[in-house]
Amino acid sequence: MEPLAFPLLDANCLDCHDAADKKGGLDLSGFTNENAVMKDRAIWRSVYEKIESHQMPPPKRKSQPTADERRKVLAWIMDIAARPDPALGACDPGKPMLRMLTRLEYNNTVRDLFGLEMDVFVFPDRLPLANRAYYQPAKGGLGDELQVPVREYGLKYPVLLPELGLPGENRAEHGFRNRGEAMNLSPMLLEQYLAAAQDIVNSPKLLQLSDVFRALVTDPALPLKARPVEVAVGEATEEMPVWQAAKEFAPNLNLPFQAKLGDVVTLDYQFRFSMQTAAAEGSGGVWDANARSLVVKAGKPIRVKFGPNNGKALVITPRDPLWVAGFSTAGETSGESLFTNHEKLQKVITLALDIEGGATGEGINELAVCALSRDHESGGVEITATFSGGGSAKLAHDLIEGGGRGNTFFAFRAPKGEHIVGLRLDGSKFSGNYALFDDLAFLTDSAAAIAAAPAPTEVRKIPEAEKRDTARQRLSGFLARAFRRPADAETVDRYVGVFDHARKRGAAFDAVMKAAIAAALTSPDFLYIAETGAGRGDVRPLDDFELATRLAYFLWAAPPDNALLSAAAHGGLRDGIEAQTLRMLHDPRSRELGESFAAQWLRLDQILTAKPDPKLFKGFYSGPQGKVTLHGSMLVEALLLFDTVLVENRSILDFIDPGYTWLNPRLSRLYGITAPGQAATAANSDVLIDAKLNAKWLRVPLPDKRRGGYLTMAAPLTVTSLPTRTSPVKRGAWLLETIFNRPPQEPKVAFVLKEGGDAAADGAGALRTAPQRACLLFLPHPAGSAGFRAGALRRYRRVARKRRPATRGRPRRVGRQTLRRTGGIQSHPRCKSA
Amino acid sequence: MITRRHFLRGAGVTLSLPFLESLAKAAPLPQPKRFAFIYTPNGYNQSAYLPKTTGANWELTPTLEPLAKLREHVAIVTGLDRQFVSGTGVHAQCGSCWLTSSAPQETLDGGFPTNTTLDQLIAREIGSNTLLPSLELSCNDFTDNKETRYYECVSWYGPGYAANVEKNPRAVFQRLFGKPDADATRSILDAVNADAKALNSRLGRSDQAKLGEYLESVRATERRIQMAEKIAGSLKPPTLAEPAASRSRDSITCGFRRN
Repeated sequence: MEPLAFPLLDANCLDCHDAADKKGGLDLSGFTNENAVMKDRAIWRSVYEKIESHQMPPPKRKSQPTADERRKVLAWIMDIAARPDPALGACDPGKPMLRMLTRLEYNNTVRDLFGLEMDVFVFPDRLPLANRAYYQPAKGGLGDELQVPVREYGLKYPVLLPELGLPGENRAEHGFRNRGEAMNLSPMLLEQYLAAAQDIVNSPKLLQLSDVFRALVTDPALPLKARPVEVAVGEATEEMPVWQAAKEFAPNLNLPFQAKLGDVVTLDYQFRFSMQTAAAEGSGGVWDANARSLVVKAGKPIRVKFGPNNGKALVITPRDPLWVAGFSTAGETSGESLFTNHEKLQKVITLALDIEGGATGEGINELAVCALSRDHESGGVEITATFSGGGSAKLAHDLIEGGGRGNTFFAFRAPKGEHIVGLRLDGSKFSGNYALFDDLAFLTDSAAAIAAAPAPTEVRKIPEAEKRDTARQRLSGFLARAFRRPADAETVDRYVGVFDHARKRGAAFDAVMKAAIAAALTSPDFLYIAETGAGRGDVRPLDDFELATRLAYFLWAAPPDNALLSAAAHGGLRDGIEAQTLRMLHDPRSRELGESFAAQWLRLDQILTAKPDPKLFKGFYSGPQGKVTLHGSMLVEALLLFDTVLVENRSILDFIDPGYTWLNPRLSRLYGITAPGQAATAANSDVLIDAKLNAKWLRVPLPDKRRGGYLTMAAPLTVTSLPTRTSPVKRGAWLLETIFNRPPQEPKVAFVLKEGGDAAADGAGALRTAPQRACLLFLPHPAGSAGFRAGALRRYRRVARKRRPATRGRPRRVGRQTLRRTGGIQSHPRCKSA
Repeated sequence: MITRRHFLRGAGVTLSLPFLESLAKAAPLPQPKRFAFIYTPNGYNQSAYLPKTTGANWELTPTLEPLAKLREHVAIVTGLDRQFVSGTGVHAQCGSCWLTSSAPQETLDGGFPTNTTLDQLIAREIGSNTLLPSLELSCNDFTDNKETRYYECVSWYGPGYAANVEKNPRAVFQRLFGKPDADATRSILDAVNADAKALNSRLGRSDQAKLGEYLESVRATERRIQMAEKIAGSLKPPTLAEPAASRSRDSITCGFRRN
């Protein structure tokens, strides 16, 4: 059946595009039937775009196809394009890829391989969110209020190897980092990977934090200390005063003072950062003392569980009864309760401290506690720490009157080789009946204790051949996960060869295993994603392991987990792919779809490099020296929209017209939208308080269509602007590439944009009259120009009528009139169909 | 005079590597050129430092007074001030772009203004005859949450690619005069090279070209290890003793506290 398309083409195109005229070098006269079209489909892509964008037939031409005819032809071309390739017997899936892991994927792969909860190293592609707890995809919804604290970009955070660094990859066209052809390996980079692998396996922290790694490298002749099974810690009771250690110490802003009277001050406010790292590494925690009202009898040990699987506990034994309660007259440094003396006026609390379940010789190295001020009371508080060597250190401070106003930080460090074993909190000079304290934070010397522990003695003699077999078994299991498919015997032999080689030189079992693991982490089978299943050139279905790897790096930017690999091994992946995908989307690792894919797709990661001119865009900067910026807030708003659509399984049209957005106080001010439940106050002059207030995000319904979605959101509008002004070129190109998937062609004639001036008014106009306009037509894209009505920072801009930029463009029919009529760029039909 | 102590106060040092004499004897090479950059964090009091006159007889200001005898050999270059750009910490924009003269708005590395530094450009020119083209040292032992590599490194191979600093004198000594343990590395390289060959045989032609980068890199690394061994074998033992395993805090204490 000959489709309707041919007569239409005949009537509308062949006037110019026949063998005789060949206008624009295009001859369509040969395409008289579908077989001919099937043989040269590439040309029809550009035909499609020309017809779709109303560039063809030329608008000047008198007879135009009807809208219906246009749609029919476009549908026909689409249908042709979707058909299987006759030469391949299948749809062309594109070239098979061999590509290296990106820096982010490398980090995630090593992280998951060893079951770590932290990043392996610090790299700038990691978005600076201080906490990702908000992302709970299994819940199916994000709710209406979220806590998303942002870290100052460039600040350290707990990772396995803070010193390690790897160079980033070059971005390929369209901004994506994971394009194989754009990634190159050089000898220098290989050496970096080799050094990184050796740093990783030799890290004492890895040995401590990773059960997987310990089980791999421990000599089978030595006892493998089993990790305790994780015990859930319930609410503390009088019979069982057991708490879960908090991971964060009281924020500095709740602690205006530090005790300095008395012995030498050994710690400062940086303590809270060490605390964060220690909590992540399982060598410390905070007793937040949360309970409505709980009395601990004298001599009854309190346990604060911390460390991997809550396997360790800080044991606090009070000599006198202790009361954990909330006081309305005090401002707790964290939570709503504190600890104090139970008997009125007995304002001296003596505590014995010990660590339970840690490494041999592990004890408290550093300790901090907060003394709380109280309404109508004041006076001196003295705290003495006693050390295992018999010495002690005393610090004192006079607390001023007022709940929360005089909270004071007391901190101690044990002398070298000693531990803190006791604490005497003396509030006898403080007025009132009670001396109030909160947030007892402790750091242990677990790494040093492990290092100093005597080498464990062999439990049994094992012949070398048996050890070698054990090594082979372990390596075979490890290589299957590292290489994301079962390793064949030859490959395992090679790694056993590394083992043999080093064993011959007399190296210990663990050192040898580490060398073999370092080799695996440098292998091309690890560093590259290769699809090498049977068959070359022809189209073939992916094998299950290839599918598992593609799924995992797509949804998680991380390697396939055991569930995925075992589904692949049993051949059940293809049938169960839907269930697997849903399972993976409900895993918190799917946040990488937003943080990695969406950030690259929408260029959100570039927001961090945007530097709006401080004189022109004063609203962007605040705080002392303008150090507080909108970078983080803009990033989070955009990220949260993506997360909402992903987690709540909403339509992707929400990207363009959601009817709501996520706002923190800073963005509310920028947009001039008052969010219910969010006080529209000026920025708090205290940088820390301001940061805390701005970590709170509310889902806010939008009043009208001038705002909403990525086209009108602050982050993309800032990314597509220059430091001093908006850019018609950048914004139009961004729209075409990112939203419409019609990347503009490279301009064929070079030209220089004049610096300065109001581009919104002049830039686009100048481009239109430039002699090169033929090749630049895509640039003053009407949609891009329409976006100008939002300024460089996304404040809505009212342009005086005579200075309004010409948004009446031909290349794509998104004109000013349409926008004015419909009230917003979101409602335009092109956006609806995008 | 500048005492050694003063010299060490500069927290970041980067220099083109000392010339290897033994190498010169084997094949006569031109007199080595060396270049050192010494970074002084926190800087100088500008009013007591900057000469008000230019030319050979530049003004001996109070800070520069100790250089009086050397004045004819010293050139002072000014006008390299850089403007702070919000978005990343103030300190992260000091050392990391000191040797780049990158424009303040240039951010090729996330939000950071790093780029290939002058010392690395020079090292590429004059460092080809030495085992290590450049050596990056630091005696800043202060650490806190802000002290990222943007604080630590004044030397960068390229945007976002730090030439990491070495802080341990013993490690520096061993890098210069020690015998590398090439054997362990070689055994790893052997294994991954075999992996690469096995993988290569299963790849299509275009992918083989891509993996060629890997195979070539393995070969280059092996060559470098060989060269290192050869040089280490013919190196004269230095007259200076190997530094202690870990620095004693008393001998070099020049970390700067900022708060």
